[in-house]
Amino acid sequence: VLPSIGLNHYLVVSAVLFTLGFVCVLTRRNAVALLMGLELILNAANLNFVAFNRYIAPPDAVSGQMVALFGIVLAAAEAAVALAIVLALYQNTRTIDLENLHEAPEFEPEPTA
Amino acid sequence: MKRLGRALGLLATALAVLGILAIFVARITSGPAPGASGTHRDHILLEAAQVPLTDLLWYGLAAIAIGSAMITAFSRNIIYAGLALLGTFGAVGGMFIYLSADFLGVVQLLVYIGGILVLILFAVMLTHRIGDTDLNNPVVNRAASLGIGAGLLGLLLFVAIRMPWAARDDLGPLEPTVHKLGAALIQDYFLPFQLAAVLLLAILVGAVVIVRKARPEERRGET
Repeated sequence: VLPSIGLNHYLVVSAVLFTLGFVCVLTRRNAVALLMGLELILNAANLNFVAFNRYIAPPDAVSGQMVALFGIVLAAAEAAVALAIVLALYQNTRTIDLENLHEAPEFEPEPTA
Repeated sequence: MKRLGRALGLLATALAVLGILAIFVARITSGPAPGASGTHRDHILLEAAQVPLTDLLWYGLAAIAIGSAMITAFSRNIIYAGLALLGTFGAVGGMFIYLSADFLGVVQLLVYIGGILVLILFAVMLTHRIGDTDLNNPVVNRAASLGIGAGLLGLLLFVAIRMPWAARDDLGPLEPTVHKLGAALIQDYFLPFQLAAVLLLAILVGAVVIVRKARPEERRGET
């Protein structure tokens, strides 16, 4: 009834996830929502790497999984720094709306002692 | 749009429930039924039994991943969008396990769900007045973005399906890869491993410095 699972299935799921993440990045004005779209994109890429590692790489190779592992590490690092920047932005301008950011009040200069 | 998000969530849940039901039905009907007449082989539920259980479970995972990602991409409520990421991350982690990447599946659970998702939800709660949950995730450029997205999806699907991928047909059994990954990390990938460690330390310090609020009295104390 249904075809058995192969490489194409993973590629299709990954393509859909990537597109949804891409649309999310394009349409969002909220900086945090934009980061969610980025995470979707990174997840889609990782899924592709692991699928290729299983179906195309030689049997003992783990290079695809290794790339995905480093991808996860980089995604965590990116999320931490990006969210810290968003938080600092919010503390200084009281907005994280990317469209309104250029008309937000200027960063207050830090008080000098 | 909010209604659409809710409908999509319901759809994903319904698909998941259907998948689980189908698995149970398949398990029940595929077993040797003692004393069964065996004349109902053309029943549609028995047709479902011809599909392996693991495949059915995989389709359930795919439905959860895509449905949750749609909520993330289209929901007007950013809390829903963030919580829906849970489904996507979890389902992709499950697919990693299907791909003989058990360690990556667990890492996905620990890092994405346990770390990144919590960070995102914290950021949502720290940067938003909880009161205005109505329109806290506005959408711009919808028509153009959906057009670009549709084109991109078509292109990606065309490549994914029509490309003659050199997929092996002698797939080995699903084996744990923790040992191989560990060996590769301290042999071939030693330099990236160390660089990642330094990067994480820098990220840790950098994030703290960026979010830290310098209080005036503290600054006086420094000087």
